[in-house]
Amino acid sequence: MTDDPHRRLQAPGHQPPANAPQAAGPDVPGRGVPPVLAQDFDAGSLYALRAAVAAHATHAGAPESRAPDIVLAVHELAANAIRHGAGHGRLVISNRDGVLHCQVTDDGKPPTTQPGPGKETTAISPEGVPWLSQHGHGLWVVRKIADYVRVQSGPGGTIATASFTLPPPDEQRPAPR
Amino acid sequence: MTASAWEGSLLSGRAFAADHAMGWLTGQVAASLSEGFPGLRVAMDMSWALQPVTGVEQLPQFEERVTPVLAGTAVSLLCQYDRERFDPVTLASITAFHTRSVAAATYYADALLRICRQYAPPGIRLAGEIDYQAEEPLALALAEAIRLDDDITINMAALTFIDASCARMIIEVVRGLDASRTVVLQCSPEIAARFGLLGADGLPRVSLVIAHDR
Repeated sequence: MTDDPHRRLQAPGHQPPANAPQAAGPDVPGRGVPPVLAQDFDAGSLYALRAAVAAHATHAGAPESRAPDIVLAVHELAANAIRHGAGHGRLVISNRDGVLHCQVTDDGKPPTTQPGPGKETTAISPEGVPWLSQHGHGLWVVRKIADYVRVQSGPGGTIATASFTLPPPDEQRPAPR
Repeated sequence: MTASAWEGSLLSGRAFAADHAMGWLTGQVAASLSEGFPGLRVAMDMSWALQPVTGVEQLPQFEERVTPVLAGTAVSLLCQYDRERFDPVTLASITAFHTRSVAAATYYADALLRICRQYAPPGIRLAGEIDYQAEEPLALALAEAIRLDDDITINMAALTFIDASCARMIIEVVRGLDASRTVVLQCSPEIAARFGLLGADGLPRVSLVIAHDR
């Protein structure tokens, strides 16, 4: 095993906004709750990633009407990691306090292109590094469909998290046994 | 050129029998030769086989018997099966009897995605899951549709996933068309939501048609 990319990527002294859900990942083990899904991906396995997300998101309590949004958000974050980052990455989905956190990490170079005049950028959060959204405004879409999005880029790579609030358990369909 | 209805030609009334159909076909061949034509081309719309026609189960037998009869003659027979309407099992069972198959121009086909031309209504058809990795064949398909067709239908009824890159490419193409042309985006509610998010429903001359059953 190599060193933990999450730890390496975590900006020192970074504090999330008080009202924001915390990013999922090994740094925040979610009170010992195992992740809903942890899967590596590259360009050749995006389909399998989408299929796994669809299955696990519904099983974790996401309504069927919401599952396509979760699949699309994960796809766009993973596609960014493939196309603009390391070319591969890892997805970890965790369910904490009724929020599904879909975290995509890649250890590639962060995007260095600065937005030119007139170019649309996606400044994800005040503390985040602006990520020039090329080739399809993927992050713009993720921001539209997820309840909360955070992207942190540093010299060691990028952590992007899209979070979806799950309906209260009594409104969820019973999990299959 | 002669155009015939199914009934009274290939079919006997509302019934299909391989013997009758073979008799009709060989009769047509003999008649055209006796009239001095060097050959005969027959194009058959096979959609009658979707209706409750008696004896339809003899269709594969007919297809099987036709092939050796036509071999070495100046007669060609084109059996047209609508991929949208015929089930894959039927298509597969009759494919084996045809010496050649002509499919709509296919820009891309693998286990997950198929991009092909659609002739009626004219445009392109996407089925399966599409993402940025298929941008190149999608761009080619869209470019040909723009060149060849006036009004374009993009049939995505059998598409289950589209990412932002491809949805945006389609919208950009539609946006660039001149004012005399209309575009129909035919898709499931989930796919329609993607186009709605990207603003397609606000574009002039574009209609989003929801297909529920595919």
